[in-house]
Amino acid sequence: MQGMKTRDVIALAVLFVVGLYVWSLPVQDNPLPFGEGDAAHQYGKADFMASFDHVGFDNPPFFYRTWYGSLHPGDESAPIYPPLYFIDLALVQEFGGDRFIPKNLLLIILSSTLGIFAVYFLTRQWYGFWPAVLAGFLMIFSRRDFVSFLFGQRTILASFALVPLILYCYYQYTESFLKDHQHAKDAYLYVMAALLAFSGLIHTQGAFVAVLTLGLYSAYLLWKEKSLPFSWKAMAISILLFSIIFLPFAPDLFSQTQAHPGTFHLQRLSSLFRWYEHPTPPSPAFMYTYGGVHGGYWTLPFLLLGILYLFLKRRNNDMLMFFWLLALYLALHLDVFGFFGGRNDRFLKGEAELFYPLIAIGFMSLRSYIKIGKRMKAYLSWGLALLFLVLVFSFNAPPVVDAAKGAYQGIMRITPAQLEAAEWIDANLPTEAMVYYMPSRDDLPDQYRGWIYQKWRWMQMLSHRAFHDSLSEYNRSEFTHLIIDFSDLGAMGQQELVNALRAASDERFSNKTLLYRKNLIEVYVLG
Amino acid sequence: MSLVEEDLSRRFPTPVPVIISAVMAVFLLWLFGWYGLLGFVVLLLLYVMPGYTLLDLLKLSRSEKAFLAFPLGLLLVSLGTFWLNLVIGSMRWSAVITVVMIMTAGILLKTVRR
Repeated sequence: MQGMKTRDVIALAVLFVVGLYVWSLPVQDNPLPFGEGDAAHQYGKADFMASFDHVGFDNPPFFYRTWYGSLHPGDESAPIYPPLYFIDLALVQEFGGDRFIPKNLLLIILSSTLGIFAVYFLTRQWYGFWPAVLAGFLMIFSRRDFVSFLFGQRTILASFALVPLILYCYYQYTESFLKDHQHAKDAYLYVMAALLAFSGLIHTQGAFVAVLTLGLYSAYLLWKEKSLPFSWKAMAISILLFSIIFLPFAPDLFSQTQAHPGTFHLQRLSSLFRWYEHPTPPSPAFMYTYGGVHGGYWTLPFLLLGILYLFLKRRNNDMLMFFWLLALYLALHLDVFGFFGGRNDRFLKGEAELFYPLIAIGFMSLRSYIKIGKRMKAYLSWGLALLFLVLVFSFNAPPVVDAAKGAYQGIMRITPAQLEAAEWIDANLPTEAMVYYMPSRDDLPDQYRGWIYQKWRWMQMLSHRAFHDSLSEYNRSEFTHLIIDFSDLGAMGQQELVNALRAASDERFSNKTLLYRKNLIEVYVLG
Repeated sequence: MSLVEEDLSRRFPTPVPVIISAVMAVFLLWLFGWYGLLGFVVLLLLYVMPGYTLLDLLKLSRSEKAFLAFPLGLLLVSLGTFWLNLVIGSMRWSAVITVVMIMTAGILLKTVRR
């Protein structure tokens, strides 16, 4: 293990500033929230906690009658995610003094900075300064992670960001135990248990990969050392600690898993010979190709070189990295055996934390092939690092920066007019109101459907009322209020659609009384 | 480094952390405005400090404490807030009490150890 120096502080500051700048591009000019259905639900849950100064086991009441509610047949109040992650977001909203900006900051830090720093830390401790810096820059421009952040799959990013820290703690413990059984540093095992439980409570898939890696690594150590790599007492305490943190929230997680049961049967065996193969044509396709998410194929030779480096060195930390790779591979192929069907592609979101250190290690290992003096080697390190950064900024950065600059602009996210209407609904409509949202997906041409779907999700979350846009799924009589949002169509100059929407609302709800009309948004109480 | 320079550097510690802190503050202010800066301070007080306090008791190295404090603080404070809230019914007071309890326990235990 190496001590951190001033240059580490400077490197981390640069990584923090560059990372935060790039990842915050979508909210620098407009702090209003964005993303798809998941983003709205997760944001809304924290917003509800902060607004009502309350946390509990249940979902907010306005989550009922939504897709999230449907995951627990018979108990719509049961949450899909345990509350801890949302409490952290709610607290920063509460104490940060603003509904959006402090939470945006924490969301970005949880989705990117946490992972960047975790990867830096692990790589720095095991492989030195330069691989850590280079892996950190690759993390900033991880396209798959950034697109997932934009879409709103943010919990899984935070869950995988903890994996390097979990593995580091276990490694430190086993090393100290194998060195001297009597003076093992048990504290590492306890911190590992706490972080593992936290990772699982944020999103199970990060913790799943960590547990699989730890299991494989422990088996390796058992085989190599011919004895257990831990003391029973310390392990029992850490399992107890894990259970105390994790188990109270486990029923929700497990009942959700039962809603998507897997069945054991072998299928698509040919996919075992690939790193990952999506069972159907995936969308967006670039998210499932190496070149699409890792800045082209220039990093691939260095990834292979990094794996070769692990095999050549075969120290315990190298083997732990290798078993991490193996665990990720196994997780990505669980669907072959009938498990995690339709969801195991999300393990790909744990790729960056592993691949980027390996690429950086592989790249900087080029130094060892050149026989020169120590002083010249220092210059060579600088030269290689600069070359690497030029490549990163040429190939990895542009797609991420372009996506960041163009993400959810204008009416593609909730607008100030819609926020104002949502806040009015929050202040004036009864809490049990069920609001029908127009334009519904059925009212618009195909190209607008995805966009309008997330619009009413955000209106629902920001107004803390149940919204829906489907009369086929619900009885007409279940709706107590109607909101007709002409504002986006008006901004697009779609007068024909506005007129059609007006006619459809009159036909669908003839008996209605106007409560609110502002900025081309109308709210009615239904008779 | 000459003895004089070494002596001076001891009396006037390296300004790097101070400069970096100032740059960070200006950066956050520029990027997110006052609420960004306030949000960052809240993150430090609410999550990093409790996490660091606990890790300090566990006698981890300085760099380990620096990197593990934030995620551990996120866990400790959210967990404490959740369970306390079931008793006292207020999320914000539960968080405040959780942080104060962790910090106080940390300081007391450290004092007792000395």
